[in-house]
Amino acid sequence: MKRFTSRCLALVSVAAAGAVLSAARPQYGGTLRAELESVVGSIDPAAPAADLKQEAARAHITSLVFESLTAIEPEGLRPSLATSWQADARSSRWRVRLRSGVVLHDRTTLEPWQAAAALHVSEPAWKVAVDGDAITIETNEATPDLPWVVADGRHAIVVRGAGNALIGSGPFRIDHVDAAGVAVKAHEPYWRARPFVDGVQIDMGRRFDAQLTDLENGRADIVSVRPTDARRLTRRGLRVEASRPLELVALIFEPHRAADTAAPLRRTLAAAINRDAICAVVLQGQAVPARSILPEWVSGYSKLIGPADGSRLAAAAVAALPIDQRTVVLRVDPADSVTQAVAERIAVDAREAGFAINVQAPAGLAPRADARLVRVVVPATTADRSFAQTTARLTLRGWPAIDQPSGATLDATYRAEQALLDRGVVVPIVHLPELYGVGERVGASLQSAARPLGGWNLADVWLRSSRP
Amino acid sequence: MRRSTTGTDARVLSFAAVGFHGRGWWPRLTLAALVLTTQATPAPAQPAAAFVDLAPEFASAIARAVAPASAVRITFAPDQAQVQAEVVRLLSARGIGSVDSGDALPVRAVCSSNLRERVCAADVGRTDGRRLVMITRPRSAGSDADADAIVAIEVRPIYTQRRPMLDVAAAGEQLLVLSSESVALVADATVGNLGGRIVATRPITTARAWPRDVRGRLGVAGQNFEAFLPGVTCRGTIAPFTLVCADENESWPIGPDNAGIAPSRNTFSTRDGFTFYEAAPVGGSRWLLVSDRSTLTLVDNGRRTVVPSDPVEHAAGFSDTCAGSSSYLVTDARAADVNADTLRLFRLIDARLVASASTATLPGALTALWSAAGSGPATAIVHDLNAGRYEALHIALSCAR
Repeated sequence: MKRFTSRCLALVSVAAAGAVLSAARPQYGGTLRAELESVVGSIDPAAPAADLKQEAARAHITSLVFESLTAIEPEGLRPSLATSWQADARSSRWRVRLRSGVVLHDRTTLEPWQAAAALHVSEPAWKVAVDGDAITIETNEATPDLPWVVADGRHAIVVRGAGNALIGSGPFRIDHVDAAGVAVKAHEPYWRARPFVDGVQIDMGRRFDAQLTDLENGRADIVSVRPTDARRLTRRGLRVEASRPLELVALIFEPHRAADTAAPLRRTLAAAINRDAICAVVLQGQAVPARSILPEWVSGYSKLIGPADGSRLAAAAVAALPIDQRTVVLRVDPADSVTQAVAERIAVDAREAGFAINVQAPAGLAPRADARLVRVVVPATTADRSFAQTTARLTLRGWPAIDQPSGATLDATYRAEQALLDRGVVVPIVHLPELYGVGERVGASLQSAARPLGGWNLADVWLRSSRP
Repeated sequence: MRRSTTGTDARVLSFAAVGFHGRGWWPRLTLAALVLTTQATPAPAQPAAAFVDLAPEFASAIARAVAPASAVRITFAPDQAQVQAEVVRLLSARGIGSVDSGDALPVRAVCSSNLRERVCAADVGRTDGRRLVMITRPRSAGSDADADAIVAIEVRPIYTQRRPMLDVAAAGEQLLVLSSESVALVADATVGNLGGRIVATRPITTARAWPRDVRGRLGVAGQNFEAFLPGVTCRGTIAPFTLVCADENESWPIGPDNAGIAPSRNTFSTRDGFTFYEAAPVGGSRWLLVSDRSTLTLVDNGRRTVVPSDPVEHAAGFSDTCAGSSSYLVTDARAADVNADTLRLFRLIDARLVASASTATLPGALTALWSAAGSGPATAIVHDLNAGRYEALHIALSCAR
């Protein structure tokens, strides 16, 4: 029987650690220094990003400055700039009442026509109109989950001012943007209360190693951390704060290994992988084993899905494989040390099971691989939307073909995911959280600097003044 | 974990000052208080019980997926024994037995939730002919002298609720509960019924946005009461229960003269601009102020002296207590690996703090501590992270041990 519990529980304790550090009374003031690996070209949420990495980095910044009509929180969908919403019988026309008295960064008050104009830019196919203190959104087809759709950062309410200035309503306003970084200042009349810090200086283009060094030397307050570096920080007494598991690391077999004839290879290799060891050892307790595409908190059903582990089963099965299926070339991104480390551990497990496995991290041309290890973000939204977006990212190269659910219901999503896993072409390995190293200047708070569903929560971060 | 400049564990202090003695609550709650004082382990969360309401529909769905009068072998996650028991009971009522036999039809079941809905799902059957059973229900939308040897800290629970609260105060046999949104009048908050019964609620009306670390204080005088929030003062009566709020910044009843809390901040300031978080009365006109630098400053007739201590965030003061002239200070320390604060007792001698042996473990993280004048109990608000609730407690000194 499949286990319901995981031995890889350190992630839970990391998440709890943020809560443990709580009771100090927060102080106002100071400039927080944060760092990002990617360089963000434009902070306009409606502009296309160069790649997924840049899109994720930009989301960190834009979520400080701009807000959407709704927000997805751990508790579910919550009002943000909208206070209520109502659909017609077909769910193709929505009336959204806006929050009154929201002060924009230019000190004017958000008007419905500005929200309508912003949505027209982010989604030209919608017909958006003003209706008193509300706006109406008409879609070409029924959109029963429109409140979830507009929560996306792409649909943030951006008011375009003179000189194409981007004006938001979030806790911080843009002060300065250049190629090396972004500076934002606290928005005093923010409707959810002014942030504790006076401003945030975000340095971009900082490699992970440099970010770690900056944090350890006190030159940065919040940096991105790889799971493989978490122990280094905690041993130095620095905090590591985590989101919920938001990224999937999965094995994808290439087309020549996707036929039914190669199904025993796929099943056997998948069964040889010791996910608990990958989580506990390689990823230093900063991950959870994945046997499904969607994490449990996104689907609610993942404990029922996926094949069981078992290296003993694998050892017996490898000997029965055709000889050409006992050698596997596994490709990883040469720029991603985390997936490389996971791949090396998979290789150890596979060799113990009887496979000959080569991990390949090519910088240029390389021999054809049998499988590749990929890492994709799992969006925090409804299960059907999350499945659709995650699988779209898995198939960025046009492979593998993944059938989408027959409807938006949860059981349809379950069936589509189970069907995908039954094929064995995509093999989930682990789910990873976003991790942030937090410097000594940052005061302890009940609110973690890592938002549970991804990104920074810098409005609730405060800085200690130097002790007298 | 917070660190002091000396590398020792941090201290957290708090307390408050207000004039209500709550005599009616003390004797009734002593037993529960002792339990709290002596048991350090926070109550665990009980999420599994949240799915019991889905059991009837889930059992019906499973029953439809199996043959009538058959036997099934149901397995849930270990922490879902309650919902499993209910499903087994309901299936039994439908003539479907639950057995541990390996021959019975296996049913692997789980109840969980995602961002949009709560779900119970079951995988019914063996490899061939497996069937999925799934029911969902939407989550609720967003639309709680030698006193060291004999003096000890006592913690008495007063009231508990899920939603955050800022302060509580006795109003006759009833209780006023202040949150950033309302003042509630609670009846029947007695031992064994700490939840009480909210009999009336009045909203706090203001156009202001509360600061992130919003603080609030209640003051009761006979049938009248006041609620102080940053930049807002509300005045009301108990019977009839009324409340009127105004955007005005007044001095708060915390002891020393102050200008209240600025609308977007969390600190008080004296008339001459000294900024502090809390004030602990330590006898006469003396006060220990918890500064925004986490230091303790003794204020005596307008003269300020820094009292050496570890960094503190919260403190409560007690004077005129235990038949002595000593003043005591209760501070708050956070354990390194549990979601619970520990109160520590100090005696103030001249301008020095002398540690006492008495400690008391709170059921969660201290979010507010308001001292009363003299020897009256301080009011503490604790956030029990594990149980997901807020508790109001009285912190007092026992002189009988």
